[in-house]
Amino acid sequence: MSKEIELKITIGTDGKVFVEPKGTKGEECLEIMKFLDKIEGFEVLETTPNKDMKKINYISNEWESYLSSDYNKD
Amino acid sequence: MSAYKKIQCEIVDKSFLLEALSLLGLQPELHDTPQNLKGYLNDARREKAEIIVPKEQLNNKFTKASNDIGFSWNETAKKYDFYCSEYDKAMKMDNKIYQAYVKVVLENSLAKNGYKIKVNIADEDFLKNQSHVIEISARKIV
Repeated sequence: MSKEIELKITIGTDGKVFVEPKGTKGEECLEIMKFLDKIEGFEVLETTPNKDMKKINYISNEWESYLSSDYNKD
Repeated sequence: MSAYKKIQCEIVDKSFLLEALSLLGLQPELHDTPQNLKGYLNDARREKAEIIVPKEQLNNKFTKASNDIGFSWNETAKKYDFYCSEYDKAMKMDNKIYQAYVKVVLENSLAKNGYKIKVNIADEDFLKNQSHVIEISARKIV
């Protein structure tokens, strides 16, 4: 199913760029922003997960530990 | 919404650089061989560049007592060395040029990747001697 995604990009007065994706879930955003890493002359200084990404990872980690738990194997 | 990216940029593409300078209303001199930059007293500086923004253009549009600004291709580093005097740095000319360059490069890359974009400021605003934070909203259907 298709959906709309948005990149909110801020270019500071010093030329530094800040990009925030919207409409993505979990690590999908990393894939969507990958093209930025390939722009010649651009250096990614920092990639920071926000609350939503952490929440989704946290849930999936919990789910994985549940699936691999002894309780589940029984 | 999931991750943020913070990016800084080096000037590596001549056509994007010329486009960025044009956005600022600057028409640089293009030389086959590097030429000396000129200081505000019209003195020849030791720095040489192939792409030179004459100080008169900077004085008219943004500053009052600029020196030439130059860009010289650095074959080892594969990027342009950016020559900008302390005075012009204090007047934020280097930042203005970096910001315009990043805008041009990003808009090009976003369009290539199928994004439709909206920018918060008009191109004419770059000609004004003001600092702006540029906000781009880029959307596409995936």
